[in-house]
Amino acid sequence: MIKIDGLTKIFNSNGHDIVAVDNIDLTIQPAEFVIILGTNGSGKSTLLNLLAGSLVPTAGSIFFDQKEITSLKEYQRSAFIARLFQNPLAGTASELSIIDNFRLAALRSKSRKLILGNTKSFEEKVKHKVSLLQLGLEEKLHQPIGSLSGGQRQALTLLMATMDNMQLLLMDEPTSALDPRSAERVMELASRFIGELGISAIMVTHSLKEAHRYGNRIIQMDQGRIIKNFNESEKRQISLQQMIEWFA
Amino acid sequence: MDALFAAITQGLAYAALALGIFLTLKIFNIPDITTDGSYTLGGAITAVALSAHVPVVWVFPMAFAGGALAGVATGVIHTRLNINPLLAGILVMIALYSVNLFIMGRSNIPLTDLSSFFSDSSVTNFIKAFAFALVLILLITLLLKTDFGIAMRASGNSESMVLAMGVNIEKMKITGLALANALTALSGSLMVQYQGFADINMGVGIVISGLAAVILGESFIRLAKKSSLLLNIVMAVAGSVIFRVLLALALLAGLPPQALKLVTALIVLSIIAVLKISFRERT
Repeated sequence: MIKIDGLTKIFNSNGHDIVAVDNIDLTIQPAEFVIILGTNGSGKSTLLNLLAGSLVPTAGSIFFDQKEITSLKEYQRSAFIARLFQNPLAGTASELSIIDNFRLAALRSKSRKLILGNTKSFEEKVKHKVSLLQLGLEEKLHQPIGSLSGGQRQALTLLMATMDNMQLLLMDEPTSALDPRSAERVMELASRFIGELGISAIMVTHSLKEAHRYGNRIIQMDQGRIIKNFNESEKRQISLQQMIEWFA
Repeated sequence: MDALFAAITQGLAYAALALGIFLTLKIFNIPDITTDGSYTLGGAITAVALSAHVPVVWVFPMAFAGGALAGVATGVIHTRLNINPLLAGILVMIALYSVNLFIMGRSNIPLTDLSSFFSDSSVTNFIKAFAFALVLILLITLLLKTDFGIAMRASGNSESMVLAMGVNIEKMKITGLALANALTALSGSLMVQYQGFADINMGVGIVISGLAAVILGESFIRLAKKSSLLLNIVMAVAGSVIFRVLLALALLAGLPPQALKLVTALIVLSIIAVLKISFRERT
């Protein structure tokens, strides 16, 4: 369970204070897949980055399973948080092979020792996982991951997230750089993993279609505040047309 | 012929330096020029230790540790104080000039009649330098293939990914800079033992030798259109040897020694220019 108390982030640019996230309280239960909508500059991505630890809040605190994690650094939070970035290049190391990327992902919550961890059995495990994507990538495990398309990389990043302990998945416009088919594949995969693993997930998106189709809770942000917050049954009642009107 | 043979042996002695630059430039993507200082530091420690009759087997770990400390200094300044790595390297390099003078006590230490890693036989020296380079190539390749090494390689590749994978990137960069400068210091130690003296100015501009080696190595890789971790590392060392041979050939062709640094810069510039032009379409 994630609990946010009075979370605030103020950026200072040329002497002007910009309140990106304004005193937000929010609780997210396990198995909740939260969609966050909002116009540019509404504070969605800042909120996500505050949760991930890549930004330090100006005020407020974040709790994970009753433990305060506000002062934990990004790499420390990675022990239980996985991320899917807007830029497919950001979630993988392009010059490293697929198998090396998976090896790192398998050690997200552990220490990286001076041992050769890319064993035959590890490779078999990855091969099996990757074959489930049905993209034929299981035969390319030793290719640099940079030689793949953005859609393939995003799907692999998602799969990599399942290699180690994951309690929370943060997705920042994960499909905005992808073609429609790849976007749908990534979303189906994300939705499936979240359901199967029973984890919490938060996705920032500009796609109202995705917001309508996926997730079991929806939030709209504006000027750093939460202005709409609907649970699963309420979300089911909302039509795509109504969502469009939120932005009118 | 003797001059060429000596150049090859020197190129192998510079292998550690090339590997150090390979680590910072290619693996970590950090332009580090602590090199000039840590190379001399390795040499200074070696000259003083050998003069005090410290056994040769102890001299290498001492030089290695000295170089590592220099790298840690650059790494800490870069990551903890958030200072551009180039500037951090320059600061440490300048500071090391004084440190090296303190260690040496004077600007030049001759090592005549002292036992060292090298001997009077040029063939034995070649074999020793070759073995030394070979061991380093294998060790570094092995290191980069371990779980820790994978995290190292990823660090220079995608910072966002590495952070999301739970890697403390600051610690990783400090470790990388330490290892790179430790290797550089090993080269300084080898060269002092090879040429039989240490000089406070021996490191001036040495970073370019490492750069040239790595860039030459990279051009072979691109020409061969094959790439693997081991191949990249072997080619950096091969680049180091070829660079020394090129310089030796230039001297044999009658180049006045005072033009050596100018020619060095021109060689590096022309390799980069050729690389840029011939691979422009593909990038």
